[in-house]
Parts: sequence; structure tokens; C-alpha cells
Amino acid sequence: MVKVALTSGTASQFTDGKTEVNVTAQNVRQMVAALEGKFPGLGTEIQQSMSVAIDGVILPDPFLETVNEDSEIFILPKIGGG
Amino acid sequence: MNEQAKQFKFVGTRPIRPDGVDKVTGRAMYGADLTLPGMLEGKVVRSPHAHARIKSIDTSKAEALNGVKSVVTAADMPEAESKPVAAGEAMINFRDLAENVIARHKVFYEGQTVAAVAATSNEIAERAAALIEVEYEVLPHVIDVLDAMKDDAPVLHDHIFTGGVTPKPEKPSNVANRVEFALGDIDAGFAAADIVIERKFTTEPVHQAYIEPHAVVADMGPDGKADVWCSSQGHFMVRSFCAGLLKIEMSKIKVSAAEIGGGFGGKTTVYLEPLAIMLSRKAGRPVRMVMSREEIFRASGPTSGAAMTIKIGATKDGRITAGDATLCLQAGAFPGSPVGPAAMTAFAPYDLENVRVVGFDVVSNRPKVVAYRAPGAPISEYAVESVVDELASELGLDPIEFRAKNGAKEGTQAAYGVKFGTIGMQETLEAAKATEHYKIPLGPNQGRGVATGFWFNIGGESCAGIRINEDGSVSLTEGSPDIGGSRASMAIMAAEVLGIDVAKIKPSVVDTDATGYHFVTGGSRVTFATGMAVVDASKAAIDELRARAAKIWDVDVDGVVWEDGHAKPASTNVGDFEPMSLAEIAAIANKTGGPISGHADINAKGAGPGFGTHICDVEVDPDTGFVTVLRYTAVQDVGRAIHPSYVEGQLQGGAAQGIGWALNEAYMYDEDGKLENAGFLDYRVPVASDLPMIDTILVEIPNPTHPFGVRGVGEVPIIPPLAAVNNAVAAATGVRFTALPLSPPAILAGTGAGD
Repeated sequence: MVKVALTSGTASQFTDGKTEVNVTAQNVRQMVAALEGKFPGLGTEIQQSMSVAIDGVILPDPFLETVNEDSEIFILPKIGGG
Repeated sequence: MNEQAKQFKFVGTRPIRPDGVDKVTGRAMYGADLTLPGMLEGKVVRSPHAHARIKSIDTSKAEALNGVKSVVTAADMPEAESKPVAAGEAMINFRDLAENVIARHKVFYEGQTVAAVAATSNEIAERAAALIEVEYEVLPHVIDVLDAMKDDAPVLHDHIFTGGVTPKPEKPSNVANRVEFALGDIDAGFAAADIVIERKFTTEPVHQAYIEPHAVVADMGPDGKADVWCSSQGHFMVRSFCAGLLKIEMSKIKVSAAEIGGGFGGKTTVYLEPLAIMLSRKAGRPVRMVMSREEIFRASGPTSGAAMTIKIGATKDGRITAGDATLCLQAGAFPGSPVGPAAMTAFAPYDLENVRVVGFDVVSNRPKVVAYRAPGAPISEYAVESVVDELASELGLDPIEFRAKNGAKEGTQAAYGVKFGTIGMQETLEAAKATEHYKIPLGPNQGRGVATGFWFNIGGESCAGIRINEDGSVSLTEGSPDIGGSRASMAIMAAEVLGIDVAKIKPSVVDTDATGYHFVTGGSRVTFATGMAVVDASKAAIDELRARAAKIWDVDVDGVVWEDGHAKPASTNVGDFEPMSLAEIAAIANKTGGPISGHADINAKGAGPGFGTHICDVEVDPDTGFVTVLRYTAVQDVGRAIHPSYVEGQLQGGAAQGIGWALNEAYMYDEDGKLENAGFLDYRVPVASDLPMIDTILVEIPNPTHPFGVRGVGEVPIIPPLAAVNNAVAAATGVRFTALPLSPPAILAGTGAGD
């Protein structure tokens, strides 16, 4: 199981306010699919407009990165810049 | 061996920039400089209304004018589907992007494009534009962000129902989205505080104010293939957006990046480019379009204005116990303000247990905002840094020590969730405190302000090619438009890896047919991400150079190492061979397998966050309210300065723009929602005579994920100036101002001297 942290705003939309949720996954692709299965709409939201941070590194296009039970995972809005 | 552990030969030096001579002699080609045989000039017809329904458009008189070759309206562009796309600062909707390029059913701001015309001269094109008859039904409009949030405000878009809230609202509104970030227990945090300060702030939208206007030349042939030259922060973005908007295969659009006279985020989207392609397609001739300065102000994106409430509590001994912020940011006519990054960065410089930030993305009848250096962060951090400064003052603490006591360190969990790795926040504070500037005594009506700033920085997709020429010189190709001297940095990094003189390397920004996809030049990413690609491509070239030397020596490639620009035997066991230079290997490349090159196509990860601390001294004239900036020092953790002169230039430019934001710049609308100051005479950006020398201090805490330790540097320096100036003015006047800009009338109103 991996522990996924969400912003309070995202949590209020998709997970009934839970800012930490657990899913079974070995990489980000599986994690997003599992989140979509457990919380409909969340996976789509992540794919369209969110980044994933793993162990402090923000990944704008996460897909195949490995995750495990020790990973610190945060779902964040996408970040661009000027 | 980790590159960071080496002593550098070229990294950290200051060679003359490769584009320097072209730029100072006028040889450099900017967007408007290209002329093609048979080229037409294009002009845009813009809405005179802030909000109106388009009832009809009659182009017949314009089309009948001698010299007019094509006229386009939204009817010439396919209807866009509602689809999110990345656009510099945020995801935007493709349907909104299309509407912003050319209005279809409604106009949402004064200056929005409704039609375009191409003719054999500018004069004829202007006359033709005036002959296009548009019938409007004028609708009620709203300009101010808080007015736009009211229940009885005119609603711009019937399809916008506030996102980020549950349950979904039953009726549409101008509040496009709500975001929230929270850590800990905000109520408990404030209960533990000895002092709590709450203030409401406003900032005005400000324009990126690049000197070079938006400009494009497009040439579409009868085979449906288009060549486009334009001033842009991302020619791959231009290709992608034009292809999507016009339903053309990407391979049929070739975009070349002209030299660029500033962008600062404002050139991370398209305005003229799709219009020029449509006009060229219809006319069968190339079309050039150039915005006037007035058009730039009326129709291209500024960054958001905002209304904010900030509340921070602290203990008597100077520990912040809680921070709470509500941020309402103007998005302009379509959703997509930088409220997300504004919310994420607001308290990011601090190590706080209890934080809450709520943000709202609000549309109103203004031009759609677009990225401006560190989108959103200068706005929210201005407000937070102003309250932080007031808290330090109320507690009788040195403002730098107060920040250091609460400042983020390695391992700090930012309010947006992520734990920081190696960062230099504390080091910038220490360096600022150690400056002579911080110790200079101040005179009457003078004040000193300090502020910090944080920006994420990003990585993203970049490519690079290294071609070893027959004479040992090197052609370096990449596709990141060079705004701040990045070609020089690319050449330096390649020289460092290859071990040859930087003067032997010619870097070029090539077109979309000549290299792979690059994300825009934005997010302070190019020296980091494209630099990583250059390092990887250089290493790939070295691998090939070693392989060629191995063939020449008839040894295994593992027996060849690359040191100081030469192939050498790895040990005496390999054999007794004289080292071969890069030039010597290149000279006989035809005999060892053909041309030698190295390539890299990457999606760079691990951009190091950036922090800066600025000190500003001002003098306020008590009679006129005029603020003079006396001294200014910008300190920043830059990771590693590849070319220190350009890094210093980024800090100075960011500080200058931030000072303008703080003191001068604002959009002024009349009661009909029309912009009244669309030009540099009435929209006042700082000029050289307005500013002192901006002193810079480069702190180097290397980013562990970059081969040379690079962090992005272009965005952090625009963040602290707003609060640094505000805090300095507070110290000079004894009045805490909460609205920007700090114009003389605003100062006099605040001090009471204007009564």
C-alpha cells in the first residue's frame, strides 16, 4: 500500500475530506488508476491538471515512476511559470 | 564522478554572449524584421466594448477595398472543443484559447479580436479594418475582482460553475475555481499566539511590459504547409496551439523562434499567430502582423490583480504559530489566474505547523491574464511578507532574524505539502544580514524594508544536439528561445563537459523541424532543463569520441577515458598512446565511421526550489508622497551561476520590475470598462533614471539533481520587491500601506499629508 497526501481542497472534492488515502500500487500509473477506482473523478483530475510529488521532487508528467510504502507522495496543482 | 565535485574551468566564467554582436549592431532578427516576397500586412479589428454579444459581422466593404487580399473572422476557424492545455502558468481550456484569439459569439473585454484583415500595405489594412462592420448588443460588465464575485454581478460565461466546491453550484458565476491548502490546526495555532495581525491587501494587474511587441510572419503554401516566424517564449507551444486551433497536423507547421525582446511569461501563449496563418492561407501569400503598444495593453495578458486577507499569529519570542490567507485573483476574461501557485507559495518561505490558504480564480471583463515571472507568487508573498514585517516590528525583533527563526530549512514541510530538500533560504538571510547595506544609517523620511521570496522552478521537456565539426569546432543545437542569455550558458556547460574552449562552441536555437519538443522558456527552467540535455548530449558525443579513439588505437572502448578535451588511455596497461584531442579525432572522423555527434531528449526532473532576500532603502517626500529608492540589494540562492553576469542581470531585472509593480504600475478603466492608460506614457514602468544600482549577491547552494548544481533564477527576484518596498515605505512614514501601487496620491492619503 502507498499513502497519498492530497490538498485539503482536493480532499473536500473527491475523498470526503480525507487528506491521506491508501491505495495498492507500484508505480504512478497504477496509483492514479487505483485512486480513480476508489474515488471516481480523482484520477482524471490528476491526469488533467495535477502534478505528483514523490519524496520532495515535483513531477509534472508522472506516469511510470516507482512508488512504495516509504514514498512521500503529494498530489498538487500543476506548476508552470513565466 | 559527480560534476559538482569538480573544479570548473568554464562554469562560473563570463564570456561574451554569442548573440551579443548581432544585438548591438542591429543584425539580430526579431519577430517584425522578416520580409518575404509578396508579403502582406495584417491588422486586427478589436472590440470597443468590455462585454457584448456579437450580432453580426459584415466584411463585404473591407473585402471590396483595392489591395485587401484576405479577411478572417471566427467563422474561418474550426470551433474548438473544451480541452485543457498547458499554457505557461496553468492549464487553460482550448475553447477559451480560441475565443481569446478571435471572438465567436461574445466579446469579453475591450480590445478582444473580432476580425483580421491582410492587405498590400499597413495603410490599406487599417482602412479595411475600419470598414468591417460589427453589430454588438452591449452587455453589463464588471472589472473589479470583488465586484465580479458578488451574487448580482454580470455573469460572463453561462458554463462556469465554481470548481473545487461540493456540491456543484446550481447556477453559473464568475468564480471559476476554489483551491485550498491546509496543514495542522489553524484555530489552535491562533489560540497559541500572543499577537495576531490581520490585514486586507489589494494589488493591481500589471503588464509584463516587454519592449518588443508581439510579432509574427506566417506563410502557408497551397500544399497546406505553413512556415511561421515569431517572437515567442516557445515555438513548440506556438506550433501546438496553432495546430490544435486550426486543425492542422503539427508536421505541417514549422515555427522558427525569432530573437526575442523580452517576454517575462507574456509570450507563453498565442494571439496573432493563428490569425496570420489563417490570413496567409486565404490570401495565398505571406502575412506579417505586429501589435502596437496600445494593442499590447488592451489585448495581451497582464498578470492578475488581487484582493487578499492575511492573518498571522506569533508568540512573544518570535515564533509564528499560524498563518491564514484568502486570495481572490483576477483571471481576466477566461478562467486561469495563477491562484494555485499564489496559494502554494504564500507561506512557503516559512516552517509553519498551522496554515490555511484559500484561493479563488475569478473572471471579469479584462484581458485574459497570462504568466508573469513566478505567476501569483509576488502577489501572495507581498501580502504575507508585509504582515510578517509588521509582526517583527510589533515584537521589537530584527526582521531578518524573525524570518530566520521561522524560515524554511531542509526537511521543512511547505504549506502545499512537499518537504524541501537542499535549499538556501537561511543562507540568503544570513548573507543579507551581513551586507554593508543593512548597516548603513538612515536619515529623516527614510526607511528600510526586507522581504523574502520563494518559487518552485520547474524542469520539463528539452532536447540538445552536439555536432563535432571536421575542424574540431562544435555546433550546439537546442530549442529553447533565448531570453536571458541561455545560449551562453549552454555553450559554457558543453565546454565544461567536452573540455574544449567555450569559444569553439556555437549554440543555436533551431526550429521545430530541427529538434524535438521543448516546453516553453518559462518557469526558470531553461538553464536547468535544457542545460541537462546539453550535458547529456555532450556526454553522448564523448562516448562516440572515445569509441573512435579506441578504433584508432585498436583497443577496447573501456580502455579510453576522456580528460581535459582529450582521449587518453585509461591506464598504462591499455598501451602507450599519445592523447588525441577532440579536433584530431574529428579530423579523421570520415575514416572511423563518419560524422560524430551526441543527442539527448529528456523530461528534466528535480528542479531545485529558489529563495531570495531583498533589502530596499527608500526616502519618502512628505510633501509630495514621491518615493525614491535609495539603495537596493538582491540576495538569492542560485544553486550554481553558470554565467554569473546573466544571473546578476536576472536579479536586477526582477528587482526593477518588482519595484515598478510596487510603486507605479496599474491599469485604469473608465466606467464603460475601457482601458484609459494603454501606453508607456500613462502606464509608468521604471526606467534607469528611476532606480539606483541594484546590488546582487549570489548564494550558491547547489541543486543536487543538476550536474552543475543549477537552480532556476529568473522568477524569484520579482517576488520580494513588492513587500521590500512596502516595508521600507512603512518604516519611512510610520504607516502600514495595504494597497499597491504606492503612488504619490496614495502615500499622501495614507499619511494624511494630502488632507
